[in-house]
Amino acid sequence: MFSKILFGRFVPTNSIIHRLDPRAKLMLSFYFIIIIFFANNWLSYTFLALFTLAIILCTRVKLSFFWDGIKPLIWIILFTVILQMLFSTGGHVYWHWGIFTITQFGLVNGGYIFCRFLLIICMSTVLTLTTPPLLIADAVESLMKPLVKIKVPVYEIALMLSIALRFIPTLLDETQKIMNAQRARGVDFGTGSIWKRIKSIVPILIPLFISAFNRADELATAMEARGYRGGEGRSKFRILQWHGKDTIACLVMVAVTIILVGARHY
Amino acid sequence: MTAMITAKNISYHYPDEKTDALHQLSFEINTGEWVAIVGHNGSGKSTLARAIDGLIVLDEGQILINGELVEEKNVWEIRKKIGLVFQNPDNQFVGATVEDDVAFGLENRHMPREEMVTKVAEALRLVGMSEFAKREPAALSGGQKQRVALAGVVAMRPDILLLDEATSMLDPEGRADILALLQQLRQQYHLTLVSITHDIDEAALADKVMLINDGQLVTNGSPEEILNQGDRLIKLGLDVPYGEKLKRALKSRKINVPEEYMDSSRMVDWLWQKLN
Repeated sequence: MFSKILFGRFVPTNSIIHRLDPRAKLMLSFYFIIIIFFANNWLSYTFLALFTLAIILCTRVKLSFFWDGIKPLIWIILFTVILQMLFSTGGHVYWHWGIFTITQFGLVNGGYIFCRFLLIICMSTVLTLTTPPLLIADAVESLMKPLVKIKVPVYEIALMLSIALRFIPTLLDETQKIMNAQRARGVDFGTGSIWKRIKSIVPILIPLFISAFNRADELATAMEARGYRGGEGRSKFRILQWHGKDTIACLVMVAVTIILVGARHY
Repeated sequence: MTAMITAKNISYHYPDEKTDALHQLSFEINTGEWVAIVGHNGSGKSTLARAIDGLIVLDEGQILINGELVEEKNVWEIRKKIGLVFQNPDNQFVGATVEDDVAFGLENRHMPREEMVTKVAEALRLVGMSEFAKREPAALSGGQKQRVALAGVVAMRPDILLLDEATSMLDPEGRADILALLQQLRQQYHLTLVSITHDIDEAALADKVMLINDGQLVTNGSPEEILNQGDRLIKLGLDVPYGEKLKRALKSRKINVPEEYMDSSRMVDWLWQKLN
């Protein structure tokens, strides 16, 4: 049941993309997602799609993993695209029935939206497939560091993020155990009316919450016993290093932006 | 011999309980000693471990660590001297990977990174977990997590190692390994070792055994003295060591056995003599 969770599904192939600094990857993928919205014609979309495809091939991860990322969202994508097609106005009208019209602009906009969705999902999948969640947490901490000046508790947020990530598998395991234990006592999950199904979740949730409280209590005690007095002034065991290839990756992204701006005005 | 841990009439009461978890408890543990604290579930053993580390504020009495009183203002200094390993390995694993977890305590002490890297590698080698350094906790067994917890504490070089049922999740072989490792550490770093346990065989290895019931010290003495009191141990909800069990079984079959405590190897010697 839980093996299909995509988040944190890291595939180690040690490609050039894997070896990039997680800060660079996080910033660049965010940046790329933003510039996708600047593309406004077929030329610019084709260029971005080719670039994304090149990146995907660089990761050396099997293409089926990317398809797994798109699959759960396919219905949302199609729904949005179809709505866009049916309700857009302008340009040549191909088909008309009641409030529904299919127009030239509608078709073009629908196509653009489809491309945007696809590119965004692929790029964010590249990030999660090539970066262990742990390093993403480190990157978030490092990138948020300037916010310390405006009194954002960055160290605490980073610690919470790292503990949360570390406990995801533990809690999933426990959920599975509780479910099996309740099944052994005759609780039936997944059949019956909606109301019945919701009620059958209660015997999972309550033990899970109580155990999470106990865990938190014990963890806090153990942390205190090991001398944790707050995030300020701790030294760091794990440090991120910015290499030449990260700078190159940034330069590549600058080049992509320049070409994109050129394609926009073509 | 100087006293490393001294407790004077300590009492502690959990807010929602009727009876005291610790009641007028006094004892002394000498430097370099290995003391096993035994008692049934709910006898106040874990509360005692927390009290020694200053994690709970006592209602009454005092605890002195190496002559220093444990109180609000120096509790962090005192915690640096004490390494505390808890029972549940999952709930004390702070780091995202094995080496991060071992480094956690060192990070808290502002240790420079280069020094940390060598300390972490050394601690992992000591507990035999070097090849697991990059693993995540979800990929480890309970026993392996307990080893990591021990490594995290050993890396900080404490004067006192306090184990709150820290070998409970290990199989017999793993437990023997860890106990041998503890012996080795104790000699190497002149550690004072306090192990809280209900494993009588583990207690038999200590220099001194303290028997606790309902937050009070019932008796303390050498393992021979304590473990010989079979009836009393059973009455307090504890088990008796294997040698004692055998002795009782022989006695019930009308065979005369010497009264003094014998561990398994001495029992074997005695049986040989008897049969020859």
